[in-house]
Amino acid sequence: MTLHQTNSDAVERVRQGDVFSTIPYYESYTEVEGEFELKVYEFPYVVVLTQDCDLEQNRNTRNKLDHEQEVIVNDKHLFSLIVAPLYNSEHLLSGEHLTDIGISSQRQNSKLKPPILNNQNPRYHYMEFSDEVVVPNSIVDFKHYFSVSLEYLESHLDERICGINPIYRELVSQRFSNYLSRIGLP
Amino acid sequence: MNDPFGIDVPDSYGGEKKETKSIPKKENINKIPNSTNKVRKRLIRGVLKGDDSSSNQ
Repeated sequence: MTLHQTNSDAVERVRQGDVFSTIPYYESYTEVEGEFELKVYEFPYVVVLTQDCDLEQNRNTRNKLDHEQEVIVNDKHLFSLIVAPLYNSEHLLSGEHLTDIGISSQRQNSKLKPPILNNQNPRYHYMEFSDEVVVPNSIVDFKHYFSVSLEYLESHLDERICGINPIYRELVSQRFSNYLSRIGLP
Repeated sequence: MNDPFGIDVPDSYGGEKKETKSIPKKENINKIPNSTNKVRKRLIRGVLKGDDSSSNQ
């Protein structure tokens, strides 16, 4: 259940379940008196959560567009995609996955670890990959997600490590949406 | 016994200790936890060129 089948197919578009390396998240950009400051978080690995049919329809529509028209009709346009960081499982379980940015997290004790590693804790998704994939055993924390422009990912397809295969990627996506739509009762 | 790698291995079977094959741990060096594959923060500072910054205000 935790071994996620992947593929390293050559792709011409971004797909749901794609794992990219070294993806930036731009926290803020400021300009003061002719100087600028850009704060960037760099995530070693992220997984794309956006629905694959949206990505496919976007690509198909763009392939048919007539760019010489003044107004382009495209109701499948996507500005950005949702991605979630993949944290090294040992780092997250020890509460040290964010220490390089000055944040320490709760250490998961022996009672808390099994539900996480068996994907029974709704907040986390544990993934193992085959030996051919150079990604460590990873955990997604569904509290952490951000958007990346489609243009950025398409221009960095060489940073795509692999694609998580159908069924497995839908499992991640479904667990993510379930967590996001949870109702916190008083 | 519930293996952390998701493989259910019973402690015993039919009253006897069951012989189980251990699955070798991943040896891929890229998979070994280290501090280089954590989230990091970068600050990029620079000077704006031209008068665009003032003309935008």
